[in-house]
Amino acid sequence: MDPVALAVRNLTVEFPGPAGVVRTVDRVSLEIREGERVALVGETGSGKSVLLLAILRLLPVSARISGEVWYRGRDLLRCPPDELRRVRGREVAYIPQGTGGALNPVLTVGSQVAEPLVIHLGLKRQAAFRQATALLARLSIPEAHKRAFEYPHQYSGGMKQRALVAMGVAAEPAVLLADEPTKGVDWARRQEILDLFLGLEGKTILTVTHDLWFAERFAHRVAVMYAAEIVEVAPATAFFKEPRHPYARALLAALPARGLQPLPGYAPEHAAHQEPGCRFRKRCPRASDRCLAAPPLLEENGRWVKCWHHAS
Amino acid sequence: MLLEATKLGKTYRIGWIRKRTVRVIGEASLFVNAGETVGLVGESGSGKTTLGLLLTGLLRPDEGRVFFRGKDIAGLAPAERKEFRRRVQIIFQHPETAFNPRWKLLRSLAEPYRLHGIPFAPEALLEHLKTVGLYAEHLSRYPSQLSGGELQRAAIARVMVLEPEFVVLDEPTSMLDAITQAQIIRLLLELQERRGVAYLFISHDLELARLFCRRLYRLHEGRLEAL
Repeated sequence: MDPVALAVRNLTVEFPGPAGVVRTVDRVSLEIREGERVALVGETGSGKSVLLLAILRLLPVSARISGEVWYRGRDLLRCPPDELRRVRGREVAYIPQGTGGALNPVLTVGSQVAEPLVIHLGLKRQAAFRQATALLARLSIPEAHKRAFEYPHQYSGGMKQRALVAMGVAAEPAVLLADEPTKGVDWARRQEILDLFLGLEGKTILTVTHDLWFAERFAHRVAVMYAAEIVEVAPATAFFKEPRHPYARALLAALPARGLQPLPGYAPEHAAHQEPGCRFRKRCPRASDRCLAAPPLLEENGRWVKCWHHAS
Repeated sequence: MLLEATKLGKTYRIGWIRKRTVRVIGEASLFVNAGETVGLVGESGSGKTTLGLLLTGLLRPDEGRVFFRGKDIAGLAPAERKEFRRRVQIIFQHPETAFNPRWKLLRSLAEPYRLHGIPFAPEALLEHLKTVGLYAEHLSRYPSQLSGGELQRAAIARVMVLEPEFVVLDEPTSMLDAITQAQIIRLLLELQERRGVAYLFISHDLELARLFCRRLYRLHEGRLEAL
């Protein structure tokens, strides 16, 4: 088995708010092996994006983070800021959502892609821009030598996503953390983005997504998050054939191709996380008295499931 | 027939130094019957949203006409226009930009009452909220404190308050996860069954549109065709 590239251990993220502390990630552990592609799926508000940001300490200072994130013998949550800056972008890179304001609207796309090359590889600006252009061309931006001089608003959604990937891979990091690479992207473009990520061979990639179509084709392993916790981790093929956790089953049953059956009810409020027992029990078709005690995340044949009922 | 569009055309003028025109839609004709769901599919950039804006009177067509209950919406008297504005609604793709970020949800949801002179009844509003799975506690929050799915449901409640007859759904679920998407679609179907509202469901997801709609139109390179 390949060595572990990134190990998240017992990671908890809390935000102090007017109504008390909100815990958006609750004691999450996840190991990613070198060259492995992992998709973290779950509904909005389940804490998956916060988890991704916490790995590189990109959260606002008000966030209280505990736990460990091990990368090549260092705990990223505890290493000094200058060391962390050398890791960010150079060794572990974050690729933000393409639809948001991730690109700077007043700088040309080429100069933004060139920036990590200047910062991390010490290239001169001109050389960096040339290399950035080549990178954009490699990621199939048409007429990259011209388009590198254009601004983000002149790019389509799919092209913006490709530019962000170019920025992410520019300094050749070993690990990529990608946030919702296909959000709001239409079907034709989605295939392009999938091909783009599959083309990044040998990279270790952790992606957060609610796009199960993408996750199925992209990931080696799938991790499911619900109400701040990881409830299932499984190899992708096994997961899509037979999800074990009742929430994961509901997630797949909600897909248009599988019947568009929504799960009744809504995810619990953060305040309700303090309550004892399984967080899913109030929406769970199989809930029983046993679920009044929180189930542990248990392993069986390489699959981890946080449910008392999964074996039956 | 509730709504009919005949040979609609829209041309955008773009560029500032090098002016150009782009004809996004040409000769688009379609109809929607009362209480039915009609789909509109096409790639991004094909002009689906533009067509939605033309049908709701938020954008004026360069060619062609839109009839609502047999009347040309360009020539409505002020009172009729106000009625049209009430009975024809739109739900946008990005719920986070559909609410004033500086208003708490209550104020945004009270707005349709104010604008259309409907007596504001808190109990009735709470009833509307309950059907979309929101509660009184949500009303004191700002849009930034709600999730995308919650905001989209709030947008649906805001529209349903007005008892519309025709609602354009402009990719209402493309930014949402699978379970939230299924919830929203089920909710829309339920509201349709109860109130007989007609939908134009705009989507780039053909699979979803096929499941949700009785009839489909496709917009491709500015041409509208029935599927």
